[in-house]
Amino acid sequence: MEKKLLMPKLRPEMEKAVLCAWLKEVGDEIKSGEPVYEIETDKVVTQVESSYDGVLKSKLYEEGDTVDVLLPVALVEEKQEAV
Amino acid sequence: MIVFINDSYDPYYNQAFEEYIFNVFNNDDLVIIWRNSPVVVVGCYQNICREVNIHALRKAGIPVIRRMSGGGTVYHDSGNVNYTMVCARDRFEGGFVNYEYFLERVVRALNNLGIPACHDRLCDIAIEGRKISGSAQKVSGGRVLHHGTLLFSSELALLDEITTKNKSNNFATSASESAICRVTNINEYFTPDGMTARKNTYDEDIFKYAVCKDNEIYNINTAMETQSTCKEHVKPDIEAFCEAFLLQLVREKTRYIRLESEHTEKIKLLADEKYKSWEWTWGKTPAFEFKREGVFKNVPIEISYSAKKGIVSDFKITSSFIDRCKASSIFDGARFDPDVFEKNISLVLENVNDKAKSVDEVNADKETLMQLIM
Repeated sequence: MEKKLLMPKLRPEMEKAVLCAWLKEVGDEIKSGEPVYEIETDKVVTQVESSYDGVLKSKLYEEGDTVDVLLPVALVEEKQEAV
Repeated sequence: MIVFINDSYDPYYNQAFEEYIFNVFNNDDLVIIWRNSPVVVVGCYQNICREVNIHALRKAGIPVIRRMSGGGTVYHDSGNVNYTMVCARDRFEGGFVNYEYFLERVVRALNNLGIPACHDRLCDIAIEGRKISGSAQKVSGGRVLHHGTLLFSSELALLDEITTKNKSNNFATSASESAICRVTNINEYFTPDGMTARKNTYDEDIFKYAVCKDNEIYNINTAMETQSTCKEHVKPDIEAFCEAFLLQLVREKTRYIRLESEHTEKIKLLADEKYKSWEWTWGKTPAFEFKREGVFKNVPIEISYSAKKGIVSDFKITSSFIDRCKASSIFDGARFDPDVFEKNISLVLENVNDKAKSVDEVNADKETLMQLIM
């Protein structure tokens, strides 16, 4: 199932941040808690971690893009648990 | 709370030291007070050549290092004191990390030493409107690293020359820009009277908590003894300031640790493999487009190129002295790196400089072109 990773709101007044670096490539396996991309706002570099186990399906922005908070930045195809 | 004792002045080692303890000692609040030999430290997401004159720094033998936190470019020398504080992200309500939590502690520590410092702008500390400290943060793995500078007795004229006078507007990029501020040194305001007045207010209990094991020795009494000498109106030196500041900053149960070789060897490896590497220092340069017009050998010259992940493309040079196709083929695909650019310029100028020319003239041409090209 496809899941979205968002641009996080790191402080109440934050409106946007720069996507500095992708730490994973499309097709890479991702574990929950693993960092997927790095953002910078207000001199803070923050690694944004996945909340899901799965595979990075697509990058919705390029490095250097400014992204509004709560917009989706990446799509992750969540791994289906065997029943 | 753990205070790490790090006596190294090696800026590569010290960057690696911070990253190492941030990743390895991930259950405690951490503090380090440290200093560097002269170095320029740029933010994680900055373009070095837009911020500083890399040619002048190379001539002066001042290295440039990329750090892991955000923000702008700073110049460190042995008159600058760095502090690092690490804590868990869940310390902040709703996970909303802020600067106030750290800066309130730093300002209080300085005020307790009689220094009239206050929080200024987003993440600076100033005395009478002049900046003495800037800070930045890194958030990763549920932990927050906050670090900052404290100008104690830095060479401010050199700092100004390096960080404010050589900005380049030839780079189109989304990389972070540095702010330009008026600065001052703490030692201008750090009076013996302030120190001695405060000495009597120290809570003796803070010293009781310092746990000194065999290999975790820290002479906690040195600070007190040094402060006593202030009664004789000796200007307190930077070491005394560091110790006194640390005692004011850390007012809870604290362990003092000096890392053993098992850790320091790994830190040296991290310094070599990451902080000295092209991949980190230049390869991390945010994508940019460069364009400059100038004069080379008394005729106009135009240079433009792009770079992504530190690799040059679309290199174009227009000059009646230079074979543009040859230049493009040499530079396209090359690393954005002063050493590589220098070698490439020699190749580009190979047939331009005829044999009748002196070595000095050839070198002058190379230097002029180097300064135009990055």
